[in-house]
Amino acid sequence: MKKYMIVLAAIAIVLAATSGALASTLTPTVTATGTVIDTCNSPTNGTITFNIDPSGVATLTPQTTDAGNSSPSVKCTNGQTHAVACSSAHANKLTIGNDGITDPIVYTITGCATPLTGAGFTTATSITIGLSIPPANYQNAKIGAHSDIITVTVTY
Amino acid sequence: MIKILSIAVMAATVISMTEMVSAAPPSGFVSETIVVNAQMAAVCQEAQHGSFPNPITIDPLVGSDQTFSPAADETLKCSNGTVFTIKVSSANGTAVGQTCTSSGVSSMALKSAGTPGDSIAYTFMCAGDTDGAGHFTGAGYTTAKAMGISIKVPAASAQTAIAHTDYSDTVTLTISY
Repeated sequence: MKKYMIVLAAIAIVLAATSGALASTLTPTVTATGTVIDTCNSPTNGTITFNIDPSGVATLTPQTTDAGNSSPSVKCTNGQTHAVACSSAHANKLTIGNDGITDPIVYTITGCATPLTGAGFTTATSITIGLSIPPANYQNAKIGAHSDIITVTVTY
Repeated sequence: MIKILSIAVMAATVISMTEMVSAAPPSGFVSETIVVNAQMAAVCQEAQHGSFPNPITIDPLVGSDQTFSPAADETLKCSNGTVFTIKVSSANGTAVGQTCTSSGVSSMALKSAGTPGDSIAYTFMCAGDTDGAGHFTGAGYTTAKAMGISIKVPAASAQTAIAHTDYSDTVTLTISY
């Protein structure tokens, strides 16, 4: 009688093992991790062209957004904020022949302190830059074309 | 209790390090340029209206030309470097649009208001021209440029003039630049 019980127990164990194999599933996972890098590219240049009337008494404030001018732009990663810096080729002086010497008209650059927030790489973000020239700086300037080049740098 | 506290401190340290890593330093930059062009305009504006003493006294006994200075010189403010000319016209003379120079414009005339047939010929001069050819150069808008106007009555005109106290003329100056 004792021997018979042992056989039954062995059968039960086998059945249990078999039924367990039929019901099991495998659910492997793959972890995908993507990092959108913070970057910028596609810079475009801008222009500021304007006339100076020396008889004026107001501070001149031409901007890249004025009619006929164009703002520089850049494409940067969406939502990322970047510092903007500006530098002049001739120490913030408009000069005849763009030589940095002849008849300088001193100006200050405005707009560079505003950080730039990227809008992704299908949308260029414009950077509005302006100049400020008080009357005393242009009333005695000589007639003719005065020029300078401003470099706008976006750091990412 | 001591063990639990030390675990909490370690966890805080790990979080802090993670934040430092995510705040990565700038890795690059992109630059663009703005070309700035400004054109200084050539403009002029009257700073002071010229006038002569009223009256000026012409002495027919003086044997030489008589020159009269203005009570107020005509002055202009012009863009620095602007070269301009002054054209003179006389209401009572025949001078029309004559270039004013340091040597003067003739064909000017003072006419008696009460006796229009009586007139005195004179010369209108602009001594401020820079080259003797009627060219003036602006000195900027904080410096008024004097025209150096004056009137010269030739001795012959004065000596033959008929005495009146109502001689006058209106001189029109036209500035071209």
